[in-house]
Amino acid sequence: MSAKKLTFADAYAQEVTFVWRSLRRMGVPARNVEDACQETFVVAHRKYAEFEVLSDGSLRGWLFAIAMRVAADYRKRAHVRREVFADEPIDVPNSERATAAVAEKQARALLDGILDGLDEEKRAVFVLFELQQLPMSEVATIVGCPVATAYSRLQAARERVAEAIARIQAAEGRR
Amino acid sequence: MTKQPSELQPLLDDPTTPGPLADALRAAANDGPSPAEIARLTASLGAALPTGALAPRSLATGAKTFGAKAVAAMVGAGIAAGVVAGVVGSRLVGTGDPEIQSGETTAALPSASAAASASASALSSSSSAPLAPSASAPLPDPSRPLPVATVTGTAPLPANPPVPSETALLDRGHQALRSQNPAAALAAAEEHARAYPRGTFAQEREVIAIEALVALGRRPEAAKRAGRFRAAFPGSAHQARIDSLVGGP
Repeated sequence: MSAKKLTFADAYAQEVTFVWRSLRRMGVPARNVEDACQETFVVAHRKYAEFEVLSDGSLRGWLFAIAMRVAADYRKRAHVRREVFADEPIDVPNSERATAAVAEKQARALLDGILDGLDEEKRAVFVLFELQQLPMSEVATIVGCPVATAYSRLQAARERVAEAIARIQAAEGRR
Repeated sequence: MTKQPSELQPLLDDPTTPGPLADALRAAANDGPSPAEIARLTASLGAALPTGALAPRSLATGAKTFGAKAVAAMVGAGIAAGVVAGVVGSRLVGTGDPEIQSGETTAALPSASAAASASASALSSSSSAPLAPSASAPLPDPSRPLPVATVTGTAPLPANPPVPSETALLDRGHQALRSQNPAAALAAAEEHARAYPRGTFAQEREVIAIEALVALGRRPEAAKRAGRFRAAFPGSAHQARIDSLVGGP
């Protein structure tokens, strides 16, 4: 192991927020995200030596790939148990800050519902580019496709998301 | 990476993005673990991994500092903080109250090692801050068995799962080992083996089982199990630990 390479502990400290957010937006419910995060890093730890020998490997890409598999498992379980929604609890607001937090939760729940309608490939590109704000070249490396393909997946994902938002707004307008 | 003028902008940077979509994207992009959640995760992950795996390189020789006491305290405090946050009404993103934030971090890491504080402080720069009413949350008695760190601070589980989660069983096993109760640790490992024979944490379960068997003086069984482990998981990161438990390959 060369000196400039990260130890597993450093990798954990650096990327835990990235992994957490990736898991959530790839469909892991809030109540499971800690367990899913732990699973991701236990698997990562077991395979870390393998990762270190791949000199040109992107740490985020490698972790994201593990997180994607973990998230897929959780999504399957959630579907079986019908626990997709009513995830983040909406609390009774008693202050301005709490109201803002509720609004954020609702906004996140809305987006998660829309993301649930995307296939995994489009969802991954959308999450990495729009939410993790990574440059497209890195997104393409992470999901393992040419940049042009990543762009077309992003465009398709954006169209679906825009349609869903428009539908929701129209439905609210009718109420 | 500098952006080409022609390069696609993220929707969040695009002023023409419709308001509701921009709100949803912003809320999601700001979402992240709170310091209490990180502390809890670090504690349970530290318990699931070989000793010292989460200690930064410079402190690797002092891996004992990341020991049972600190971990137990972190788990306990993390849960207390999580429960408090749940009662008060959830994590508030970006409230930016430095007093609340630093109070929270201190509460979550009462006697944590330098290693744990280092990673926690590196991580607490994330944009979310939990709302915790000061550091006065009572700490649980560390001598009492700790509740299993699964989900706190969120909704109660809608349906009681018939079996504890993989991580809950392993946490129980690790805690039993730390409190010198190898029989309970072995029971937790066996329960895991029955519920999740090919679970994500099959390797970690075997480490617990082998350590428990050694502690119970059942060395031939431990050695047999270690042999099966070597065959099933060649090149495992846990192999060195298992070899040291059973006295070599």
